[in-house]
Amino acid sequence: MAESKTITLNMGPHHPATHGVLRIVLELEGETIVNATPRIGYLHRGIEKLAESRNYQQIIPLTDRLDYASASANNMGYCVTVENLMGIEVPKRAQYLRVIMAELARIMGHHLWIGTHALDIGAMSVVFYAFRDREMIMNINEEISGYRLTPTFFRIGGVAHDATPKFIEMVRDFVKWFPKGLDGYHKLLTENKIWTTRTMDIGTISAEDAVNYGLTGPSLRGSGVAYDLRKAFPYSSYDDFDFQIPVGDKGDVYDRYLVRMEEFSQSLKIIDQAIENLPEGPVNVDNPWITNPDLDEVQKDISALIRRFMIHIKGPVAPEEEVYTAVEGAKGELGFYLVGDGSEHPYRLKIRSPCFYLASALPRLMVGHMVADAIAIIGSIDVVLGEIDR
Amino acid sequence: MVRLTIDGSEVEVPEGTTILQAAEKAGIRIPTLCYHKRLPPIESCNMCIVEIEGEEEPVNSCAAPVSEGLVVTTNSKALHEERTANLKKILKHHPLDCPVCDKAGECELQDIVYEFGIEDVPYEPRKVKRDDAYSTTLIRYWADRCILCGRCVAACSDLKQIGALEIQGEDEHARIVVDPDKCKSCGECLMVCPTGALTENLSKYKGRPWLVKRVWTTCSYCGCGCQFQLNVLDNRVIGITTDVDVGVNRGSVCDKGRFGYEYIGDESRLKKPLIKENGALREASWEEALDTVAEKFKAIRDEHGPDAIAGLTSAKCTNEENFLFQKFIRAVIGTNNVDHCARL
Amino acid sequence: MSYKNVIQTIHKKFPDAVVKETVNKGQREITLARSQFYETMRVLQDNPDLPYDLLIDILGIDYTPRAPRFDLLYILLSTKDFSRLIVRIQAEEGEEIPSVSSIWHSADWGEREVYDLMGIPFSDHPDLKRILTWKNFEGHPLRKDFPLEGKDFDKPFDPETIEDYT
Repeated sequence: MAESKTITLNMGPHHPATHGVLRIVLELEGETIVNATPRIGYLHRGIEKLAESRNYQQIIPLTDRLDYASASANNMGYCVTVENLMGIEVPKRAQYLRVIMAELARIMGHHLWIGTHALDIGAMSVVFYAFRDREMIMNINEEISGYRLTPTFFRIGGVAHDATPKFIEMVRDFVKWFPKGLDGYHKLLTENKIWTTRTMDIGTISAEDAVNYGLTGPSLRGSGVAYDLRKAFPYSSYDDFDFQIPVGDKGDVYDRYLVRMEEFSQSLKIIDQAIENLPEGPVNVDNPWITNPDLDEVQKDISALIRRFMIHIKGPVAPEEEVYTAVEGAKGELGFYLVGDGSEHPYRLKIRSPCFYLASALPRLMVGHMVADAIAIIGSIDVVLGEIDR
Repeated sequence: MVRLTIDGSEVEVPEGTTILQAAEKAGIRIPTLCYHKRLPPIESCNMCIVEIEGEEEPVNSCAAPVSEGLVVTTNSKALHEERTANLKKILKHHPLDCPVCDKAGECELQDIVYEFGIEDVPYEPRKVKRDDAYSTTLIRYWADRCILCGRCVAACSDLKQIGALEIQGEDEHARIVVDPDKCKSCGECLMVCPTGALTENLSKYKGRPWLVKRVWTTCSYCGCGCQFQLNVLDNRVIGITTDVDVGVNRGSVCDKGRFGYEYIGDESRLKKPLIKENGALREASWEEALDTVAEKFKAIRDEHGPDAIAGLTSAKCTNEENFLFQKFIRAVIGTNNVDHCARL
Repeated sequence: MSYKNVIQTIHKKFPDAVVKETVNKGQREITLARSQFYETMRVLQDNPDLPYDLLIDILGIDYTPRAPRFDLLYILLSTKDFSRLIVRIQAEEGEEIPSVSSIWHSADWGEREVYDLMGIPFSDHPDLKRILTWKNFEGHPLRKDFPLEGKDFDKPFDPETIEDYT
């Protein structure tokens, strides 16, 4: 009988701390991890294959379900890519509304992160406060579109409809309240001795290694590389707003935690500026082949009825070109490579998901640490399986 | 051969071709609404207008013949505006029926309105009301949706040589009038109608074009072999569609092919062979049924002679099946009593 | 200027490597030949003028029935001046492409996904296994001849037939 020095431990797909159906096969020597192999694919739904047989408008709800914790940010990426491909310019009011929805989605995603990360490490009270604040954003989502988690508020060429006065009031209330909530999380965790001992110098990765492993987003910024797509490749009038990018220096779990905490307040700053300076104007591009006519126009005008019918069953046609556009999703660089073929559905849609590359770096981050630290590391890189498996 | 220039490119076509056909050969597409490949030009929609150098007024390219050295422009700002105005004239009185119309999704009027991106045509009801009556219960005529393109009239008189339809009256009083004695319910008018003015009135169930599965098949009623597509929804045939370019029939079918699909899914069709025993029919397998028939045929032939058996076949079978059948009767059974439904 | 320096360096070292250089909707793109592909990618990553140190994504496009069948794209980013470069290479069916996972670690999973969903094999890969489907899955889902509903979708599915990696 061969004597092996390592134990194989399976952190199976059904596990409360893996943030989804992620399976990691750990090889332990005592309590220390010698090797870690993530296995994915349990949530593979074939979104890229489905996109090849749907209209451009019909793919928008599919993109909602990628990173379902912060759904509107994915919509933003897809719509911006399609508009780049077809050469459409979105009016200013729609761009500001999109920024508000995307930043609210980012805050929602970070709430889920902090609640579950702290819960895994043992600080159980944080998740209740985080989900109380998250509930406020879900109410805003419900007000504007009827859905709580996956609003699908975006359309090609703008947004679905104009913001109601109640929406503006709810966003203003959230902006007024949230700094107190954020202060509460800081008081619970940032200078907490147990928290700092469990998160400092764990899962350290240097800047060159992080870049080589393809990390983007808060995980890369925690290691010191100031790469944020909102500043590097500005889209949807992000260059109208004044905000900063937090950058860490050591690249451990604690630095990534601090980067995301600071991102909370920077996102809030953007939302505040956007809602106070919301310009007047249309919320959809003025193009008869793309804009959906309103219902009261449809009931009186035959050409509006025909256009509404045709836009829903056929929709706009893309030229025979290819384009790659990326936006800053809640977890990192969310990119879409779109190949058009002259018809009303794409020839190929490739989704560059940030969590895919974050999960591939898990072996590098986990080796040398103990099992309990592995949980902290998975929480700090903040993966959502919907995006990895697509 | 005649040489002419269309939009800057030279093309050579035989004499007698129209400008529209010459443009198609050159790969240039001119929008049309009342033009149909198999019908002579009707010139009722005025969408295919083109500008000819040297002429003041634009002409309908579906009917204008080519001549040597012609210089044609198919697209310009003025042409686009005139086409849009012509289309708006047709649309003004068109009822807001798209959600309930059978044809929505494959309607040529919808396609051309979307292609032009027409906006701002408020609905005005017609001043003179038209009647909805039609001759056969299999085809329903929605008079409000009719744009009076004249395709059905041309199809009935030129393609089918029957002439049951006619447009009577001028301007606001124009309407389609049908002669009930002449109409044969062949559905040719149904095939060429560009809007939902003529719809099939047979199937209880309807399906939108993107929900329905279309399967190419050959008609089983006679030996002509007309090709059409069966429209299948939820495992049930709800209609047929034809294509102008496919098959010997080139899109036309008779009334049996067009409306005779209900037998396919009929409830009273047998699903298993039945054998009569003690005055009642009971289910049997194919092997048992065929063995029983073979035994009984042999017994009858041995007892009463081969002429006691006769065979009757039909045009629903293929040629090969008919050949096998008569070979069976003549060589196996040994009698000349074989006949075919066409001789009756 | 540094981008031009990089292209000149490649031309000097491997004169036949770069087949085409275009700018497509404001995005720089180069098409590489099959020979010396690995060495050219190495030069792109560690040249001192403009190192493309972040491999953002790898994707394959199926252009059936064109021959060569696949287009393989690598999207690179340089963290020096945040500029992107798209590298394209054409691959026949069954042709093995040298893996760049020894240059960029992010190519490890990226190439596994292209192998799983498109069926383009890579040589010298540390662990070329299927990643989103299971071990005895037949076919490559994102190819154009693979049906949307999957093979045998109307037959009952028995989970016992799945054999996955341990």
